[in-house]
Amino acid sequence: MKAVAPQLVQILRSVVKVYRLNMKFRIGMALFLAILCLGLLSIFAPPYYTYLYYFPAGRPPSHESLDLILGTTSNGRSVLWSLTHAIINSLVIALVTSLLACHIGLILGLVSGMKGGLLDRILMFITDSFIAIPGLPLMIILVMILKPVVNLFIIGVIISIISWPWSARMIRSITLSLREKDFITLAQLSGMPMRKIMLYEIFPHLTGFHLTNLINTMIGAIGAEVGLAFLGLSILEMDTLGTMIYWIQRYGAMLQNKWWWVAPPVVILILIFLALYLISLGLQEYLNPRLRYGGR
Amino acid sequence: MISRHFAKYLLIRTLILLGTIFTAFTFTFLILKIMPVDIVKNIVSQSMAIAGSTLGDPEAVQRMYDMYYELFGLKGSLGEQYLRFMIRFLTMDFGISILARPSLVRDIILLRLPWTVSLLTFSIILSWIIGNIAGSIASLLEGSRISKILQATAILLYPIPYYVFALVLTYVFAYLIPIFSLAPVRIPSNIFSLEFIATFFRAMTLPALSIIIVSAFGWWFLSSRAIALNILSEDFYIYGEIRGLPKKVLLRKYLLRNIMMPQITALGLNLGTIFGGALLTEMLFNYPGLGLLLYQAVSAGDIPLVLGIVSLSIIGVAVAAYILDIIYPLVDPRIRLR
Amino acid sequence: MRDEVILSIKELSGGYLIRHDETQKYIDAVNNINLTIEENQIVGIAGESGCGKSTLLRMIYGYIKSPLVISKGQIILKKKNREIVDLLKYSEEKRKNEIWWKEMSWIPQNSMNVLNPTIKIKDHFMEILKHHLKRSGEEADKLITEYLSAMGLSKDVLKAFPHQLSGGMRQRIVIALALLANPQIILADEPTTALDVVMQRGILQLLMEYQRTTKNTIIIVTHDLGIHSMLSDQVIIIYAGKIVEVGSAEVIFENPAHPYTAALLESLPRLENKNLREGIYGAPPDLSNPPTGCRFHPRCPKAISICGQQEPYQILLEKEHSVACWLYAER
Repeated sequence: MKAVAPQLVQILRSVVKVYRLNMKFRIGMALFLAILCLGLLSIFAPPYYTYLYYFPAGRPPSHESLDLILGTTSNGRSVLWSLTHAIINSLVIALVTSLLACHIGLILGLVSGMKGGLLDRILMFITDSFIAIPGLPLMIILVMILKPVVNLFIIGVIISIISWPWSARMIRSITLSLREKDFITLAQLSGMPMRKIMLYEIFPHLTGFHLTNLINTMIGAIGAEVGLAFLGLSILEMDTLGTMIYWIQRYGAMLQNKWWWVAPPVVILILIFLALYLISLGLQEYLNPRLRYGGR
Repeated sequence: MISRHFAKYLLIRTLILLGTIFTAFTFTFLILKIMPVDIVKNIVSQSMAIAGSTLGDPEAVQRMYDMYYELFGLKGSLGEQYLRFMIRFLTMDFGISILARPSLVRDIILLRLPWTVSLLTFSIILSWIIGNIAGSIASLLEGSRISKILQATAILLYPIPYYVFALVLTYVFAYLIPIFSLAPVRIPSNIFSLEFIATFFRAMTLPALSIIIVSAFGWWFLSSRAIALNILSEDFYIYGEIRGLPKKVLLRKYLLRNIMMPQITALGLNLGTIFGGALLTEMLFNYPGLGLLLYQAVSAGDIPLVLGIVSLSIIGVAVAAYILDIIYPLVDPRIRLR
Repeated sequence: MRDEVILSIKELSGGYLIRHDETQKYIDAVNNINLTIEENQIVGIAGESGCGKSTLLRMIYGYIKSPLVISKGQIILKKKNREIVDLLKYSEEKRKNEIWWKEMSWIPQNSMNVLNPTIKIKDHFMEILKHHLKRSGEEADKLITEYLSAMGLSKDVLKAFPHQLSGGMRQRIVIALALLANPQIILADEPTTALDVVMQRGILQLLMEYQRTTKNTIIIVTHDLGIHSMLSDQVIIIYAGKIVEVGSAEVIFENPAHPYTAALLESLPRLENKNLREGIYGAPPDLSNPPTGCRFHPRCPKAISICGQQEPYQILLEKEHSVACWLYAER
C-alpha cells in the first residue's frame, strides 16, 4: 500500500497536468464527471424504484417529489432513478469490456510483435479472422445462446470478444515499429534480457495508446450494448442506457410524445460518447508532442 | 499487367478469406458446444408455442429434434458433428424458420437480401467518397474557419453510432416534419413496376441518409483529414507544390490518389462495424431488409433464422473485404507492379 | 566583358515565427542579405548546418510556408523577356504562374523520394509541359522523347512508376524535370547530401555540363566545401544568417579573408597536410537571441573590441571579393 501511494500521486499529478494543458480533455473530463455524479445519485434511490407501476404511469415531470422530477415511464417507474442506474450500469459494462479486451489485446499484441515468427503468424491469422467477423451478428448469437445466465459482467465479456482483435493488431504494429528503433537494438546488444526489454523499454511507449484504447473501447462497448438492447438482447430486468431505449421503443413513447422519457437517455448517451471521445482526443493530443504545440 | 507478385498476393488473400470463414464458423461451433443451455429444446418448445397445438404428432416432433440436433452438431462423434455443422453452415441450410413456417430459412433470407445489399452498397460507397473528398479539402483549408467548423461537427458526429443518429432522424422526419412514414413498407409484387422503384427509393432515403451523414462526416472525414494532413507534409507533395502545379491537380493526383490506398484498407477493416450499424438502422426505419428480419427473428426466438442471417453476414462481410483487397492493387501501383 | 546581372537581392531579412504554448519566438534566420547574381554562373552558398542558407534559397524561390516569414527586402529579377520585377511584390498565384519552373526551378534535397508514387514518370513530365509550357498531346509526346534522349535517358523510363526505378535514376529524372522549362536560374538545395560519392559525382557532372551548354545560372547550397571547389564559380559564405564573405572560388580557397572562412578551410582534410584537424571553438549562436555586433565574434580568434559592438558591413577588398569583417575596415 505504501508503495502504491506515490504512484497514485504521480497519476493524479499527470491528470491535473493534462487537464490544465488541453482544452478538449478539460471539456471531456468535466462532462464525464458531471454524468458520473448524476449516475452516483443512484445510491440514494429508494428501494421501490424497481417496482413496476409504483408511480402513476406516463406522467410528465412534476415537482411533487424527487422521484417524479423527470416524470414517469409508461410502466410506472421513475425516469430519474432509471436514468441514474442506467448510467452506472452502462459504465460498468463499458469498464468490464474495455479492461478485458484491451488487456488481452495488449498481451497478445506485445507477445506477437516481440516474438515474431510462427507464433506471430498464427496469432495474427486468428486475430484477422475475428476482425473480419461482423460484430453485431456474432454478439446476437452469443447473447441468444447465453440468455439464461446473462448479467452485466457476461455482457461485458461478450462485447469484449469482438473488441479485442483490433487492440491486438494496433499494439502489435506499435511494438513492431518500436522494435526496429535503435534504442531497442542498443538494449539488446548491451545484454538486457528480452523480458526486461519488453517491460522497461517497450511497455512505457505503449501506455499512451493503451490508455486511449481503453477509453475508445468503452465508447464502443456502450454503443454495442445499446445496439443489443434494441433487439431486446440486453438485460431487460436491469436499467441500462440501452434497455431504457428499448422500453421507449417498445412502448412507442416517441409516438406519444413522452419527451421527458425519451430525451434524457438519448441526450445522456450522446453526451457520454462526446465526453469520452473528447477525453480520448485530448489524451492523444497531449501524448503526441507534434500536436501539442499546434501548427504543422 | 498482372505480375507474379500480384498472383501470389491473390492466392494468399483467397486463403485468408477461406480461413476467416472457417475460423468464424468453428468459433460458433465451439460456443454451441460449450453453451450451458439446451438450445434444441428451446427451439422446439418455441416452435410448438408459436405453432400452437398443430404440432401434436410425436413423430414430427422427433424429426424436428433430429434435424436440429444434426444442425447444431450434436449427433455423432465430434468429427462428424463438426463436418455436418460446417456443411450446413456453408450451404446455408438451416431448415425451417420458426417464425415463418413452413418457409425455409434460406428462402426468407434470399428474399430480403437484395434490399440490404443495395442499401449498404449505395450508402457505404457514397459516404466513403463524400467523406474522403471532404476531409481532403478540409486539410487544404487547414486553419480556416470552415475547416474548424467542419472538424467540430465531425468530432460531434463520430462517436455517435448510426442508430442513435437514426433515432434523432426518425424523430425529426417522422414526427416533427412528417415527410417520411415509419410504417412497415408494403412491397409491391411486381419488381419491375414504377411503383416498386418509387417505394424502393422512398424506403431507402432515411436509412441511407442516416448512414451517410454519420459515416461520411464523422469517421471518413476525420480519418481522411488526418491522412491528408500527413501527406501535405510529405516530400513528394511539397515538391509538387514547388513545381507550381495548380491546386486542382494537387488535390486530384497528389492528395486524393494517395489517400485512396489507406482508406480502402480502412474500409475493409471497418466493414464489420459498418454492417452492424446498418442492420440496426434498417430496424429503426422499418426497412424491409435483413436488419428488420433479424429483429423479428430475435424477438420470436427463431434461432435457425438468426443463425442463417448471422452466417450470411459473416460470409458477406468476408467476401466484401476480399473484393476490396483485390481492388487495392489496382489502385496502388507499388503492389501491382514489382 | 561582364555578364549581365539577372538577380539582385537587397537587404533581404526573414525568419521563423514559432508559437510555443502561449509564447512566441522569432528566429532571425536570414539578416540583411545583399547579393548580385549574374547569368552564366554557378554560385555556391556555403556554411554550416543551420546557418540559414536553405532558408535563404527558399526565400529567393518564393516558397514561403508558415512559420517562415519575410520581414523586409527586395528580390529583383530580370526575367527572360528582359522585364525587371520585384519578386517579393508578387502574390503566390502570380509566382506560381510566371516565375516557378519557367524563370527559376528547384532541385530538392531528398531527390529520391520526391516523385509522386502514384503517377508514371511520363505524367510527371506531361504535368510540367501542360501547366507551364502549355503543350499537350502528341506535340508534348514528341518533345518529351527528344528531351529525354538529349539528357541521356532512355524512353522506357517513361512508362515506369517511381518505385520501379533506382535511386540514381530518380535523381536524374528530378534534374531533368528541373531543366525542362529552360529556366534562367536553377536553385539546388543540398542536392547531393543523401548520396554516396559516386552518385554525387555523376549529378555534379551532369549539372556542370548542362550549365556549360545552356549558359544559365545555378545557385547551389551545400555545406560541403569540396563540392564548391569543384563546381562553383562564385562562393558565398554564410554564418548565422549573415553573409560574411563573397568571392570567386579561387580567391576563397587560396586567400580567405574572413576568420570564419579560414577556420572552415582549416578543418577540411587535404592531401598534402597530415596535421590534426581542428574544429572551431564554440557553437553557432541561438538565432532567437543573436549576439550583438558581428555574429561570429564570440568564437572569433581575431576578434577586437568593436566586433562585439557594431555589425560589420561588406568591404570590397579587390574585384568581386568582399568580406564583412572589422579587421579590414580602414579608419
